[in-house]
Amino acid sequence: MTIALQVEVELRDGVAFVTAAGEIDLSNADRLSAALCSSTSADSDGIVVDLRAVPFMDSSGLAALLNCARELDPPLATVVGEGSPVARLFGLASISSQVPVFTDLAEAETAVRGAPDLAG
Amino acid sequence: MSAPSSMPSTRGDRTRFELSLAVEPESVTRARHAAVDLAREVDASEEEVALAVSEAVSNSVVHAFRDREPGTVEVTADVRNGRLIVTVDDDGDGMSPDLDHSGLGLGLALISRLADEVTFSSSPSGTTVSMAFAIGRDADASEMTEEAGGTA
Repeated sequence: MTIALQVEVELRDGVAFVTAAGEIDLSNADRLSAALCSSTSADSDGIVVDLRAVPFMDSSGLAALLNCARELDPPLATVVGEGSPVARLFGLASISSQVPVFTDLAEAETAVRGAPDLAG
Repeated sequence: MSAPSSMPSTRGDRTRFELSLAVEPESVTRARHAAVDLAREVDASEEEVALAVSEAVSNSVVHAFRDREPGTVEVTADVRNGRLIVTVDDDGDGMSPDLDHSGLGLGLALISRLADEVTFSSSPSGTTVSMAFAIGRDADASEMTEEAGGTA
């Protein structure tokens, strides 16, 4: 069963929260990229990407995140479900040094607010 | 662009499917879902099959047809010798570096880590990726020993 991707962006106290729900692959990863770009245009000081409601993501979604982390100024952190397929993808791809990964939303927010150079 | 078609079938104790898909992003989703359904049926790791098939079909969609109209990608799956075998076969131009694409080049590396055995074959007439996955108890053991890290 296809789980359609929904992406929402909310700006709270200077941090943009990008919340994705649904599967992310080549057919819709551009929607995640667009949301990330809109987050930076919203004059945010940081971006938290919440992927806990994403049951599947492949390297297309990973590329959207990494390209954002490399190209954008605000620090970026991600939140994934513990032991989820997305967490495992991050582990397989060994990208945690480029995009900080958390399992707790509050910890990710704290990290973004307190580490301007988090995204490297 | 050729119209996609599918011929899922079950023959006795041999469960399999054959998909002929248009080379377009939506085919990634369709192939993955078909493969996951079969993985669930034969007790293979749905997670590993899902990611590996998604990467293989994405590779065909993004890289196989650059300077001409997209062709087709065939995705077949079968259970042989106690393993689930999934093959992704396109009639594109073969694998070569794509400097214009902003992807990560992670696809083949991920496939190699996910499948128990992988065979890549590339020529100017197309690319074939064949992936074998453990089924039953072997699949469970493989999943449990895999690194679950990446979280802070």
